[in-house]
Amino acid sequence: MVDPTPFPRSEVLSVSGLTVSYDGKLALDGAEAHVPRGTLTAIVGPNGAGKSTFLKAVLGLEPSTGEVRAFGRPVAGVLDRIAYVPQRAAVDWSFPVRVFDVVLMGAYRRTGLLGRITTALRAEVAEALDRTGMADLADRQIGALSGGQQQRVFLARALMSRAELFLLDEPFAGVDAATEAAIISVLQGLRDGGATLLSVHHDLSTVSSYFDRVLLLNRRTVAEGTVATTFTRERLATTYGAALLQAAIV
Amino acid sequence: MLAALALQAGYNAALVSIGAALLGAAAGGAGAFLTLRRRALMSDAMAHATLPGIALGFLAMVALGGDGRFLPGLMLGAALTAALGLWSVQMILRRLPEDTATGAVLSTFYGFGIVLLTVIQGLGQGRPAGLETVLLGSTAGMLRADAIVIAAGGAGVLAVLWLLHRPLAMVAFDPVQARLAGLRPETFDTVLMGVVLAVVLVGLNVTGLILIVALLVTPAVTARLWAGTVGGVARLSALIGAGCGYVGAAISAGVPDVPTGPVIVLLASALFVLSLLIRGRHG
Repeated sequence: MVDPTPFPRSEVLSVSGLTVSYDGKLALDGAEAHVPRGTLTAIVGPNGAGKSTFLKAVLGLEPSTGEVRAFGRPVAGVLDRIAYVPQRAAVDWSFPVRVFDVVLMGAYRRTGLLGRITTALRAEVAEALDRTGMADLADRQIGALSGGQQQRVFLARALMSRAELFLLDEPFAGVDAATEAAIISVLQGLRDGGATLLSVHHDLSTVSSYFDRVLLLNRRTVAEGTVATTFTRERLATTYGAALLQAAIV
Repeated sequence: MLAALALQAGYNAALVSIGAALLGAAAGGAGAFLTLRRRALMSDAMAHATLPGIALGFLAMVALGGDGRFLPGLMLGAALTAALGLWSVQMILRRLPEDTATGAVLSTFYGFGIVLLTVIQGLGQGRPAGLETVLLGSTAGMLRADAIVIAAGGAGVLAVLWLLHRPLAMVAFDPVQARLAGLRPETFDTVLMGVVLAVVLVGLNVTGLILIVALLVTPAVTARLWAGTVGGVARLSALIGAGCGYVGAAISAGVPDVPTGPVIVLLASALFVLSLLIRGRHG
């Protein structure tokens, strides 16, 4: 991997005026984000706020208007430095493939069409599985995994890309407590190693303990900043609407 | 029949058996990636869309004063209308779901092809009976040149699949992740349909355009019941296709009046039913 381009203000991801519409309805209406290096940001907002759409639009997977820059450059040119962990429902889990091979797919930019799967690469896959607590399941069919294990496979695959920016779509949705602990430990480890992470998150009760920044989104950015300054009752009320917030917290 | 299985039933029977085995291997391999990418229905539309092209190719060659049954000419016509059929499916897909799009294209192109075949029969020239074999296949008159076409086509298909197995598998499993890794799914889908088209064209001579889809799909879904990796499914599917092609051709050579294509397909179907009974819960 090439040396990261020196970037002013250590802003890894900058998004401005990001707008996405489906059949004339706005899914995102001028969303903003300015994410510094080495931070772990929760993207929080009600259902239909456009959280998943935000990640997809940032990656160029959805047609959008507005400006998105990662590492100071247009995203299309730096996709090799970005990893995306989609929702589990994104793939067919009955597909005939083993855990090892899915994780290896994360290194496709290095293996290419016919590049040899070297011993070093195998060791790297083993390490990614070990970090996510999946070391014993390398040879298992993905169809035989639990929801939490599936999520960990996706995370291990993302680790193989050696990315510096990670975008995760609800990594904790429908997983067991052990998986949740394993995943947050990996994410915080990546952050401590200098990576930058954004994760769509639903459980408001864990935002403060898991994340250091928060992006409050409801089609547009309501607020963005450190958990201490931004994750406040008033801001949440603005994001969710007062009545909905009651429901979300209960 | 046993003699045919042992390649001792004469030069032509041996040629047919080897040709059918190569076709089966290519169809099985291509079918594995086709079904994993969930494009089986689209290949059915494509196969049926070859018929008007075959008829138009025949008419064009007769009009130019040639032999209307010259195989490369028929294959060229078939390739053109198959590509047109696929393009039509893509256009309709912008507004309607895939099953509707493929169904509409399949029946329209096939219907047009049947009309053209009827017209050709009405012309009363060029031995139209020879043309009808493209529907259900006929290996009885297979020549050395035909066998070489099948061998070259089959080998080409298997080579492309081997070369591109990683991106094809990635696109089939997770097209979004493939795109982020720098692989355009559209490109590999086009390659895949091109490979399938090659199988269909090569198969015109053996199983015919209707049954070739069975040879693409059946070995692949059978292999899926047994194998747990993309590579495993592809290899086993190719092996099943080759085995059914070989044995089917031998049976057809040994038993009078038994057509080759249907026998091959029935063998593949029997294997599938058997596999389903044994491994049904593993699928």
